[in-house]
Amino acid sequence: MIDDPDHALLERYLRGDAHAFRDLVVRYQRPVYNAAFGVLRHADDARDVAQTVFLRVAERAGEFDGKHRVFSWIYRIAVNESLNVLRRSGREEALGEEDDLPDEARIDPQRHAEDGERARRVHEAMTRLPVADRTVLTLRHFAELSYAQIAAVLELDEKTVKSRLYEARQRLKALLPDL
Amino acid sequence: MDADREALLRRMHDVLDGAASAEERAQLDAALARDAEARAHFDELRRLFDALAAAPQLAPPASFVDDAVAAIARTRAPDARQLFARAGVIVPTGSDIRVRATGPTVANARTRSEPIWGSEHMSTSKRGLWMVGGVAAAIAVVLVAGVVDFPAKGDDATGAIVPAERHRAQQPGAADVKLIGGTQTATPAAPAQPEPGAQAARDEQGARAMQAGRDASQAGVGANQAGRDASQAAMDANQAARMQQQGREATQAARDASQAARMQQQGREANQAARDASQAGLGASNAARDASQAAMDANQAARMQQQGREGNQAARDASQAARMQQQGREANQAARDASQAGLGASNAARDASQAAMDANQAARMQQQGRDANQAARDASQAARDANNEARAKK
Repeated sequence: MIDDPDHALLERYLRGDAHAFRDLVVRYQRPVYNAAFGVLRHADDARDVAQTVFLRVAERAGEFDGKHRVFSWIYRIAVNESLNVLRRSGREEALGEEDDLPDEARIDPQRHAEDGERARRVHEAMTRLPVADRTVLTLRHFAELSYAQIAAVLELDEKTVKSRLYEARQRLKALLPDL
Repeated sequence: MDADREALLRRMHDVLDGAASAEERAQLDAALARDAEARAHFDELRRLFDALAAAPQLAPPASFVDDAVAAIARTRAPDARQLFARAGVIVPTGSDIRVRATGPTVANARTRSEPIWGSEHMSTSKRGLWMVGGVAAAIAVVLVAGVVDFPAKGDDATGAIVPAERHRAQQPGAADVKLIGGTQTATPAAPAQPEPGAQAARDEQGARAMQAGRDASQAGVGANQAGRDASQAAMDANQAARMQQQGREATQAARDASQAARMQQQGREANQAARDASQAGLGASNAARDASQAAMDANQAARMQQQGREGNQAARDASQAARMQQQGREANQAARDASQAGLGASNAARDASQAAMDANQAARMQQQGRDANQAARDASQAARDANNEARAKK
């Protein structure tokens, strides 16, 4: 068993402490939501997936392998659930259209004016990338995971992660020639 | 792209990812220092990384935690997997109503209802089975309703409404009444008794009979009246029944009106709840926006911190370079000193060589002196020998 404070939360939840699970949701709601949004590019779908992720975590808490990090496990569920949604909706490939940002992000012109313009262009370009590219870029740049952590989430080796990141960025850069 | 070029590009990614070692960074710096094209590419890549880092972290809806925890609590409830376990009125929750403040469409005012049957984890096949069963049952009801006329409609009823039959009390008949001195008496006349002094008794009896007849007539009138009263009472009762029916109908209508009013009130309350929920959603949206702004600020602070760290690193690198430069200077000085020392040594060696040459020269001259001395001595000896020879000759 590795030293991970989230393990203690899971164990408390399994003993019937609902507050422990609430703490876990509070801690991971934002990264899980952002990871789902990064893959799906759709706010409502991201919200549904994030809620499903925590349901899965609650259901499978008893099966969690203590040799892994809890956050890796949660991210893995988030990525898999997001990919399932894409698969079910037939949107596995690049979306090719403007992403559905949450309202609060869409209606803040000042934010976009100040430093959001480039970020908005990056968001739009990401919708045109393949899912695998979006996934790895999201985990690295939005979830800010290290190579090793991404490797754990995607169950790949670090070398492959580095290679995928490199190729995804090259493709993204090609979509943004005058960034 | 040749392998070296690609390796250089990959090195750039590693450095910008913070995954390169100091040695790899130094190698990249060296490569960038001598390659303008690589430098331009590195700048572009850095801008891409900056843009990715500047992307705002999105905030989930404000009610997300409560919704998720509630959903999990439902799945853990003992009745969660029972069909119809939580049947109830579909009620939108505040978190389910989302209103776009702006945008091309009015919104996705998205109303997600509490499930009214089964749990969220009911299998799709099971749920589908129940849905098919429900549809089949509905079709059966429609078919039966087409065949059986129930309830009967007003235009299907035939016949006439008749007044209630009047109550009739038993009436005295003509045979029951006989008039004295006339033709009839109320009771059959007693047989005449031709007894003396009985006239008074007969008169008395006749008077009683007349009285009885009058009483009977009166009773008949009373009975008639009673019958009329009874009839009237029956009519009244009938009327009362009609009025009761009308009352019941009025009561039912009042109940229906009350129910309608209640439903209207519930509708108003639901509308109000929806407005409140919308307001709450707006508040949540504002809160989310604030949170997002706070996150952006934090992100900005983190970026500045990162820039600070990079500045520190640059300062450390510069310091390290300065130290190395100083060491270089010191090494140069040492080299110069060594060179100087070498020069001194060379001079000393030259001096020593000169001295050696001088000494050699001196030695040579000393030898020559010795040789001259020897020659002088030899000459002196020869002179002495010549002298001796001369003296011997003498």
